[in-house]
Order: sequence, then C-alpha cells, then structure tokens
Amino acid sequence: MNFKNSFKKIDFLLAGTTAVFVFLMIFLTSDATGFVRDEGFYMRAADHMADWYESIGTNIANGDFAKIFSKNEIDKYFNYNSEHPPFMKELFGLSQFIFTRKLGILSAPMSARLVSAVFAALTALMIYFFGLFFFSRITAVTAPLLFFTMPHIFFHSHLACFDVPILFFWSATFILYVLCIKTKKTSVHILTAVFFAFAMATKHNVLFVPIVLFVSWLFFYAFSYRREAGKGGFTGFFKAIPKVFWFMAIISLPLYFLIWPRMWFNTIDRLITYAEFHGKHVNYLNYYFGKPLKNGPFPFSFPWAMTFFTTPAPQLVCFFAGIFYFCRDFFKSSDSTGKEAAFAMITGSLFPIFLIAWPSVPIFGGIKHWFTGYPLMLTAGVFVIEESARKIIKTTTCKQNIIVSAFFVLALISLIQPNIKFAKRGAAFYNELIGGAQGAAEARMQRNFWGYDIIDLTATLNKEAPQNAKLYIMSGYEGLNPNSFKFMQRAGFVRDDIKATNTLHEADFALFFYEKQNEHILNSIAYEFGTIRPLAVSSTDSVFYSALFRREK
Amino acid sequence: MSHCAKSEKIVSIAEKIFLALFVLSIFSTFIFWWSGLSEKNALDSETDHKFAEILNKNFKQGDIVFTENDWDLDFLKYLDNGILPVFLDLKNATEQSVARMKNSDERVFLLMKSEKSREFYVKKLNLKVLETLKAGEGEVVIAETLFKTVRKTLVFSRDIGKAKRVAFSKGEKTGECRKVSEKKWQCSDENWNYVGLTTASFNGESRQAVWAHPIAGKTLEIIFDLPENSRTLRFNSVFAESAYHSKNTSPVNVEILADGKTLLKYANPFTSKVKENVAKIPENTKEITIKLTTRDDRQRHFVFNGFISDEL
Repeated sequence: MNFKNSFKKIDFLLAGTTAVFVFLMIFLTSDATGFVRDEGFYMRAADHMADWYESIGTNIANGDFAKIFSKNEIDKYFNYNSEHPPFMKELFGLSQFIFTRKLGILSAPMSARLVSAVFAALTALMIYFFGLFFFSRITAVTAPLLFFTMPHIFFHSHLACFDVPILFFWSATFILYVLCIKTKKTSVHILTAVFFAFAMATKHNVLFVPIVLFVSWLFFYAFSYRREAGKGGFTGFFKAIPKVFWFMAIISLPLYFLIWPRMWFNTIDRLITYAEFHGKHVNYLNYYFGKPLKNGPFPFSFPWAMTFFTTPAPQLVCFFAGIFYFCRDFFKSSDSTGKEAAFAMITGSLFPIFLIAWPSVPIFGGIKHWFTGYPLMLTAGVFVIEESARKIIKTTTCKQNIIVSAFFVLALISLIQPNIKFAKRGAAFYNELIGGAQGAAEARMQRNFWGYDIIDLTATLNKEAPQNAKLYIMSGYEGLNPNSFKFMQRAGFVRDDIKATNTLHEADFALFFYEKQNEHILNSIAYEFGTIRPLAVSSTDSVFYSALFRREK
Repeated sequence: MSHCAKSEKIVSIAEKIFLALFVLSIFSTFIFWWSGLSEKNALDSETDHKFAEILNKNFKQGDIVFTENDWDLDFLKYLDNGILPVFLDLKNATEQSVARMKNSDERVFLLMKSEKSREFYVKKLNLKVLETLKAGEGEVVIAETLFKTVRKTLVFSRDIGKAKRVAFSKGEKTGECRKVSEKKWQCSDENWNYVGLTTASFNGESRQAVWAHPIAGKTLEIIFDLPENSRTLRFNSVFAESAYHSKNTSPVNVEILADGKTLLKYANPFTSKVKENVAKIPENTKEITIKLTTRDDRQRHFVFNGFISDEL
C-alpha cells in the first residue's frame, strides 16, 4: 500500500464530476424504490429530530437555554429508536427541518433520502481518493462507477438508513488508519479519531474497527515493531502504540457522547441497554438453498455464498483480484508498516463477512450487514485488472489509457441492463452464476427483503381503491411497516385516505409480499377475498415479489 | 529460477487469469442480461392462459392446485374467483403432506412446466392420474391421491357449512351466527367476526382450517351432528397470522364435548406452535360441540382444523 499519485487540479474535476453524477443518479431516482421496514422507524425518528430543532429555536427565542439540553427535553426527542445511535437521524431531521419545514421543497421522506444521496456521493469521493492515492487515476474514476452499478449498492444508496453511511465510515476508517501508519502525521491521527466518532454515532458495526486494528497492530508489534529502537519493554510498548488509538480514547469517545445527547443521562444503564439490544439480537429467518435458517448454528458459507451470488460478475472478479492484491502486497512489502497496511485492507474487506459467517452470529437479513468492506477490495481489484491489461497492451501510455478506459466503459455498459431490471428492487438481485432472479427462486433463496416492493402496485391501488379503503399490509410477516406506509403516503406514493391494517379480515385490499416462509398468506388472502387473482403484480424476469389483491366477496 | 522470480511469475499468471475472468464476466453479463437468457425459464403467455382456462373450466370447490413453477404466477391473473387454494410447495410436497392439505377425497391439479416431470411427481406423490391436459408448453395433470389411511367421517374445514349451530353465548343470551355460504358463518357485521374456511401455517406448512375468533366474556359454540362410525377425533389449533407477536398473551380455552360430556379440554398456549390433540369418541355419540373462550380477545386469531375418522 504505497502512495502512487498526488492530488492534481484535474482531480477536482474528475472527483467532483463522479460524486455529482452518483448523487444525481441516486437522488433523481429516489421515488423508484418503496420504503423498507427500517426507513419507517428512521423517518419517524427524523420527525422527532426536526421537532427538536424547532424546539431549540423556540427555547432560544424564549431565552430558555438550559431547557434545550435538559433531560426531559432530550428524552422527549431522543428516546424513540434509542437502540441506534443518532447521527444519521439527526441529519435526516436537519434535512427535514430545512428542506421540508422551512423551504417546503421536499416531502419529509425525500428530505431524509436526500441525506442518503449525499452519503452516496461522499462514498464515491472516498473511493476516488483511495483509488487515486494508492492505485491510479483510471482506477479512481472506474471504481466508484463500478461500485454504484452493483444493484444492491444502488438500491441501498437510496434508503434513509444507516447502511451506506456506515459502509462509508467503515471503509474510510481503514483507509485513514493506513494513512496514519504510513504518514505518521499527528494531524492525520487526530482527523481519524474525529472521523471515527461520527462513525460510532452512525452504527455500532464500527465498534469492531479499533479492536480488529489493535489486535492486528499487537501482532506486528510482537513480531517486529518491538525490535525498533525505544519500542521494547513496558514503557516502549505504550510509546509504540499508534497515536490514533490514544486519540480514539480521548477524542472519539467524548465526541461520540457529545453527538448522542441521550447518553448524557443514566449513561451506564443506557449503554448496557444499547449493548444488550445488539448482543441479543434476534435472528431473521432466511431461506438459503431451500433451507430455512431459523436457529443457529448457521452455515459458515451463508454470507460468502450470498456475496458470490448477489454481486455482478465483473465486480465479483474485482473482489477476488482485490484480495489477491492485498495478499500480494502483504507478502511483498519489505517493511512491517507496509505489511500492516496490507493486512488492514484485508481485514477491512473481509472481517464483516467473517463476522456474519460465524455460526453463532444471527442472520440479520440481506447483504447490507457485511458489505461495508466492499469498496476496499473492489478498488484494488479494478487496479489489478487495469495493470494486467496494460502489461498485455504493448503501446504508448496514452493509447493504453484509451484502451483500458474503453474496456472499463464496456464493463459499465454491460451492467446497465441488470441495474434497470432491478432498479425498483435491488435487494432482490442475484447474478448469472445462480441464474439471475429465476435461478435464485428455483434454488429457493430468500427472494427479497424488508417489505418495500410496492411501487409497481401503487398506481393500481390508488386508481381502484374506493375512498377510505382498508389495505392489509402484512406487517406481522416481514411485510410493509406501518410507519413506512404512512411515509409512503406523505411522499405521495399512496393516497392519503387509504388506511393500513394488519387484520386481513377487515381489509378491502391486501398486499402480499412473497417469501417462502410466508407462502401460506397467499391462500389466506385468497380464502378471505374469494379470489387468488391479483390486481397487480411486481416482478422481474417473471419472478414475482409482491402483489395486490382486492376483496371479491 | 530464484524464489523471487518464481513468485513474480505466479503473480503475473494470476493477474492474467483475473483479466481473462474480467473479460469473460463482461461477456457473460451482456449475454445473460441483454439476450433474454435471464428470463428464459418463464412460462410463455400461451401456457399461462391455458393453465387458467383449464382451471376455470375443470376446478370444483375443494380441489387443490399445485404449480411446479412456483415463482412465475402470471396465470393467476386470468383465474376466475373461487379457484383456490394454489400451493407453491410442490418441490417439498410428499404424499402425506398432499393428503393433509386436502380436506378429503377432492382432486389435485398439478400445473407442470412440461410433460417431462409428470412421471416424477405422480410417483413421488403417489397419485392416480385421472386426466392430463396439454397447456401450451406445459401440462395440467388432474389426479387423486392414493394415500389414504382412514375414512374421515367429518372434516372441520370441509364441513364447516354443515355445522348444526354456530353461536356466541353469554349466560342466557345467545347470538346466532348466520350461514352466508357453505364455508362461512358470519357472526356480526365485523369482517373478522366469522367462523369459516381459511388457510393458515401449521408449523410452517400451509393447511386449510377454520377461522374462529373468540370474543372475551362470551363462548363461541360450534355444534356438529356426528355421522355413524365416528370413533377418533384429531383436533389441531394454532394462532394464525401474526397473532402470537401480540402483547396480549391470553390463551384461547378449548373444550370439546361429546353429547355434553367433556372429551378434550385445554388452553391453547400463546405460541406459534400447533397444539395437536387426539381423543377417542365414545360409541354412539350423536353430537360434538366445540366451545371457545378467551379472557382478552385482542388479536386472538384462532384457527383449528382436524377431522373425525372411523379409526379405532
């Protein structure tokens, strides 16, 4: 992991264009995807946050500064969804406060999704800089584009959730750590610690990062660093610890608490509750090659196979090539710092998958729980392909650049079609190695996730439903979250007068979200409504994911 | 060759392999996603229409449908009302499970993608083929199951329309439920307040069952006349839909009486697991009564199924 390029003027243009392009692609298609279960909770939390910002204004106007951060006030606005840290929800709320309540130019749900699009752009920038500094300018431009043409990534980038933001923070923290140990500049160590505080305030995944990096450092210390002058012995050990770890303790932690006001009160109890929620997280039943993964131990192969079958083939090759690059770098580096940097990249890429693969770790759902390291191995992989192509194309550098660029453009063009097919339901994408959507359905893999896939059904529902009709949303069966339904109404996807219900027997219309474990609901709806004929179906390549039914009796 | 040169060569070969794989992946992406290969296994429009046409013409109430292709359900769009249930679990089905999914002697319709798999499923499910009908590229097999162990004299889900009486009672007061079809008794204007046919998940398997939502403070009574030679009761109950996620943990109390004498009495526990019961019926019993009560009726989406047989 050596520095290969410095930032030049052209990089303003290239990085800026890439980031703006990604932002526009995501934000302008925000209404193509329904709201997943989690978004319903986070958008509601964003309402609370926007209320808080309103109340701050009121309290300041009243001169009541002490009230702003009083326990009552903080609990009132921060207690909802307290099982997750608040940073993204604070941003969603801020966006709603500005763009919905003050400017009136976005609906509340879309103001939250605006923040997600910004994080997608930041991720594109991060990949660009990672590609530029450690690999090449062509890799820097290509990698973000290949990254966002993975249907799962494209899909998750739209959602007002924490998954793409934590992917950004996870990968960037590993990149910053490499910069720390390479440059040894105190300012980089401090920046990393500050950055890491925001990462912790986004989602708990990153709490593993300092542990993984410190254990890895200890290994290198034991075998190498301790032999360097002044780093042996008891005091030498403490002196040898990279400053970033000290700064994580003295900067990241206080900043983390500053960002999360709820933790200012009853701190220990609330931290324990937070830890317990994630430590004792329930398992979500997933079908995996026809087997319901209900209780552990879960197959070690699960996240590996899911990664293998849900990543488009070109990017999958890059993943392998990227890991190969880091391994080669590890063995090739003559100094321990180089080896540690390469090892950090390997752990950054693969640790999330290893963690979920552990048989006792519950399965939380789709690939979003382990895709946090994808940018690292993808970028390195793109560089391996680029370098390998250059070695074969024996011509001038300029011509090589043109040919290699054309080659990557061809790869990107090939990915347009699968992305269009799965634009509304990226979480359902499976690649050609399993036979696409049809092959995955035939192999009885989990077909889709999180009950959001109703965009293809809403036009019929809005047209056919009489005033004040009741819609069964299947919420108790991984269907649509009632909060998400409300926000779909606020976003204008579903008519305001339609009422959601979880009782099929009082419904006039019903949504059915297919999952193997919920198959019986199809016939329950059919018996209740007197028909199994759907009014509208959402499908890709004839594989159906959800359907709308109308009571016929 | 030095160790270093050797490893350089290995690296060089690996890089070339990755490049070749990347080129191959571009081709495979173009071929699979752009040429129609990704959708090649879908049923064609003619087959969809033919499946529906055959079912609309031949299906009788009580029959059940299995479809081999369980992810392309376009044929459902052309079905008439009342053609149900359609089961999507043919791959996992066994002769016992098919027999359990049916109420009694009704027929099984298999919607096959092609003729090829007919023999396999007929053998696997131990079916007697009554008729095969060509449907575009596919085929519809109409069959009956050969798996029969006992003669069912009364099947609750099949015969709910034959109940002698369905009513809610509270002390002296009774509210009769109105029979609105052969499969349903409506007990008030509330949609949910009925006793009738539904399907529900019984330990993960889809089964026909009777929806019977009790009301707090009242007793729901369902009374059947017993046919001759009714000797054994098999009675299964469970909470349907997501009722077991509810904060209301009240059980549903079940009491089954044979000519007024208690045959079976239990509190259906608040879980998603099926409560399975077997009881011997005294000889010459004329009438069987199912009584359901609960302390708190919020989300008591209670369903039961089972049958009475001549099994000794």
